[in-house]
Amino acid sequence: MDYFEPKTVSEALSLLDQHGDQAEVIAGGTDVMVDIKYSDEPGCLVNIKRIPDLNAIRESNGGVHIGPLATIHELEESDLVRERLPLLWQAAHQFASLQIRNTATIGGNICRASPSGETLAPLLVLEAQAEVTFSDGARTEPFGAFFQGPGQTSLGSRGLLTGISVPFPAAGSHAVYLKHAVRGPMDIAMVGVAVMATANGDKTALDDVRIGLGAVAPTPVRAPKTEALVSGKALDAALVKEAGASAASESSPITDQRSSGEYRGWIVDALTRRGLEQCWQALTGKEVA
Amino acid sequence: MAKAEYTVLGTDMPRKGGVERVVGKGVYGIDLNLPDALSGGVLRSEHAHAKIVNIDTSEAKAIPGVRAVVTAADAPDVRYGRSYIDRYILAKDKVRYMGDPVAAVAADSQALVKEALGKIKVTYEPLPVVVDPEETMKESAPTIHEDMPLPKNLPEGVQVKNVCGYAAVNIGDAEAAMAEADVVVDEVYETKMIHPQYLEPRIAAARPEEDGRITVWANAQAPFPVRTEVASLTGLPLNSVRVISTGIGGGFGGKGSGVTSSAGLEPICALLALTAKQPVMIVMDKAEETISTTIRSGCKIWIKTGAKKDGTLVARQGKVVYDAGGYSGFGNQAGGRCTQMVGGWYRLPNIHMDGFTVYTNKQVCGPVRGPGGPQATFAMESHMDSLAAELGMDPIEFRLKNVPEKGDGIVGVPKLRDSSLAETLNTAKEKIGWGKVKLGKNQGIGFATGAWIEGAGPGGGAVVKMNEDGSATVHIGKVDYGTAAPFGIPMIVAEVLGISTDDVTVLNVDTDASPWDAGTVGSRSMLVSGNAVKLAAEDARDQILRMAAGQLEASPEDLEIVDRQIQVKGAPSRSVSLASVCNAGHNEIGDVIGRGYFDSKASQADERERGSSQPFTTHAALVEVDADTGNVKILKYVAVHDVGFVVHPKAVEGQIEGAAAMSLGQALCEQVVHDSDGRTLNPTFVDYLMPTINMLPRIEAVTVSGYPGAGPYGTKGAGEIGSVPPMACIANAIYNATGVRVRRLPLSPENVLRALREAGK
Ligand SMILES: Cc1cc2nc3c(=O)[nH]c(=O)nc-3n(C[C@H](O)[C@H](O)[C@H](O)COP(=O)(O)OP(=O)(O)OC[C@H]3O[C@@H](n4cnc5c(N)ncnc54)[C@H](O)[C@@H]3O)c2cc1C
Repeated sequence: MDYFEPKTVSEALSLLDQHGDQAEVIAGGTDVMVDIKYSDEPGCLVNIKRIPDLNAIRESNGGVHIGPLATIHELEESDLVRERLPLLWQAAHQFASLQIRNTATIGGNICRASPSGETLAPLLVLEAQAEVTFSDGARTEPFGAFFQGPGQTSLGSRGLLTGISVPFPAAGSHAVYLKHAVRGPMDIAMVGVAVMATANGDKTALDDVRIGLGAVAPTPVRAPKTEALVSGKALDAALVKEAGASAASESSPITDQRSSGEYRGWIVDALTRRGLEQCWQALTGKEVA
Repeated sequence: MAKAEYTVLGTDMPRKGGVERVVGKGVYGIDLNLPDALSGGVLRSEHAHAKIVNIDTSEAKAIPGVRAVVTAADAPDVRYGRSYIDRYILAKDKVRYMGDPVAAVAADSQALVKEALGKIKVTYEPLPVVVDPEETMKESAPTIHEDMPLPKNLPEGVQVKNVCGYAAVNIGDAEAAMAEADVVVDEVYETKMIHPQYLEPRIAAARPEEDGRITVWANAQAPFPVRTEVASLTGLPLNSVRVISTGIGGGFGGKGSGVTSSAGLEPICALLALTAKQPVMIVMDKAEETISTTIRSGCKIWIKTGAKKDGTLVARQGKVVYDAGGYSGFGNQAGGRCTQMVGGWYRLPNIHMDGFTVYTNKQVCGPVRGPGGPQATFAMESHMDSLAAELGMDPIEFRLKNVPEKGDGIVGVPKLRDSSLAETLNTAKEKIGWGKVKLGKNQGIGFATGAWIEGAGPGGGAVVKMNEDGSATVHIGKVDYGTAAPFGIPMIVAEVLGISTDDVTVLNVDTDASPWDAGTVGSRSMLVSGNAVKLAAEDARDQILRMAAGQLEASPEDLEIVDRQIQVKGAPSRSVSLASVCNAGHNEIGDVIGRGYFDSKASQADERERGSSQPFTTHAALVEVDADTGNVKILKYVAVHDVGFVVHPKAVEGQIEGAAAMSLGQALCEQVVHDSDGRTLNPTFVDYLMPTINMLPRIEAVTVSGYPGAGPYGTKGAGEIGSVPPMACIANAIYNATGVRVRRLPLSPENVLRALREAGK
């Protein structure tokens, strides 16, 4: 197995062009190293960790620019993320152990495109954009288009994720990321639910409700029908119940050794209800009645 | 209490070898560095059940740098096993679970081993697979061992298949008594397979010696059985095999059953070394271990108990089906123990139990911490709560009504000389705050008791050899894996000889030098080696005092050793140093070598005569159930134990906490998951969920005293019993919180939520 440490993005891209499917990008390596152990070795590893300036977290154009090499712990430590992107901060905070958070990068989490990846549903809800770069140029695309299936992204084998831009959520919005796993943060999510909403002027209804679901479909997904169901309405117990069931019906979880699809559906229901209730309470100061 | 009577016993001296372990010194098997050792590896079956039609090793052998490729054809036609001798060193003719070793390779590098293993061509003829222990007993099931007979003690008329062990409990007339009961509860419980998941991987290393002997290094809990089996499976005379125990990073019984535990790793390694005529070392991969080495079996338990209105137990009937896996392994022993323990440890005059241990196409049963006990107790103690509920009684009062007392017999114990069960129940009730703490929504408290009856087993010896500076070197047959060897053993020697534990070196086991021992299992280290080492130290002391008596012009009985000085009792100024006597001894008797032996037979006869004192325990848990997700959070946990006299409080606490944590893992999340083809779906730590620290409560370990056992100074076994109650304890707490009884492990969020939904909650 060959090993390369490119010093620039273009050097990395030309290595990817040269080695095609044989090459595997490695950042923090917390997915790649595990994969190497349990499946066939790639032809070569392209370690992008030495490329400078790819780990920035800074304010830019009404949002936050995040470099793909920013570690999960750097997100967690960033005041900008904590204050302006609390949804992403919550996901980072519930992400594995400190040792893993110190090593794992957000770019790796995104490019691995595991449906259970912690930061994915939040990025969909935040309507963030991926900056993807190929040897013939860069483009920006929404994450809805970027994620194509489990482990599949629009990068193919020759692209690099070079940036993530996250617009600031609307002023006064509230967001909740809820992870369900047997061991809590120390485990892969069975279900992750991200809910973000704002309240109308007199705090009698929710506006712009966004719901993202992780680990319950081939890619992280939004739940548009459920969003439409609750947006513009006052939450009461009946509507919350309906929304939970609706979100569950918008998911398509599989059965595997961790849990049955049926159970994952119940959890989507439960966490969606919980997320909506928490947003309602935070935004209106009232319990759902 | 202890401190006043003893100088060393009852203190918390640091673990021998503790610092080395914490700072990462090379103490474990995996740290072994044998010059010129080849790497070894094992080819494992890809089928759970198949005929081996052909094995072609020619391509693998042709690879430069590959030094040995072996199959069953390269070894004597000899099998191993405990109750059933049903297994070859490497699978011959047939494989019986996915992970069964088929061939092995030794080569110059790990990469070459991997390559060569990939080049071995095995032609299989797949056979129908059976993974369900109930299914395997049916006529329609495939036959797993063609030439193994049904157990001789099987009752007449029982039509079964693939059964490799039968155990019964017959006390009184359960059927007739059941008809007299006011209340009868009839339930079925199920537990899943777990792997002991010690962190240190299995290793084996073997070096052929110039004189034709072979030295084997193993991180096994039972080096002597390993020696016997390596000799027979490789065809060497017993005295040509020397097994040296490395430091052991956890075993929990998973490394306890001779070469069965490792699926033959030690003899396979020896065979490779003998073939290559070079040293070979094999380190198992974690996922490889999970699919191939010994486990705690899953089982299904039917239990039916009748009681009088006032709560008096009158009769119990039940059945256990215990999964041995592809080979008998430790299945018969564990299944038998499980069957007995479903009978319980309460006053119960009429019991009938049938226990079947069965072959399936899965990993093999080992003596994992309290073999059979945690599973039995999950059923038995959950069932006791169901009975209490049915009777409308408080679960503590109901149990107290039925606890055995002095003079009573319980299953496996003809006569008790005392009983601490009631005291553990009352203490647990008090400590958890039963009836006092205000429970929030979906919060509940559960209790479960436990016992670990000290079983019969071989004795064992000890040698205490004095050095001329007054220090002592100790040989025992039990290995150091964190139990008695680094704690109680040096403390006893120091206490008897009036020296410090720093002056005592306990050697790890070397079968060329150490006294024979059956294995470091069964919570027997203090009972066997502790008793033996006490006698050996006393023997050494007697020899020393006899020599000192002349110098001090006193009789030996009037002498004592205090702080390395031999002095006349009451006249400490008349003294001579221990070192000088040991040194002078070279000219009188040679070395001072004390010898001791734990006479197991005599001890058992004595216990029968006087009645025995058994360890009992009660655990209590306060939990909160998330009714939306099924998640169970343990808010408080108390483990009250009678382990007899406590030699090292922290070590006992550690054993209780570790044992409880291990079973809490099985209670909440652990299981080995198989598909219907017998493939393990969660072999790595990503998917095999061990509990992490954020899931575990602080475990408050409490000991009660005043019930001395058969160990030295009145100790009782403490290593396993803590793993007995937790599963039932949590299930009972969930019941108390929600009114829902979960009868299937694990009590994972999914299983709990499913049960809540089925109950309409
Ligand atoms: C013990 C443990 C616990 C874990 N717990 C969690 C958890 O709780 N939640 C969770 O979401 N994940 C978890 N993971 C998974 C993993 O840590 C995350 O997915 C992590 O974010 C991956 O980042 P990395 O930098 O380590 O990626 P790497 O392993 O280096 O790479 C991951 C993938 O992304 C590709 N890649 C990386 N960077 C780029 C880039 N800039 N452009 C193109 N391709 C790229 C790589 O080629 C590879 O396919 C856990 C892993 C372990 C080992």
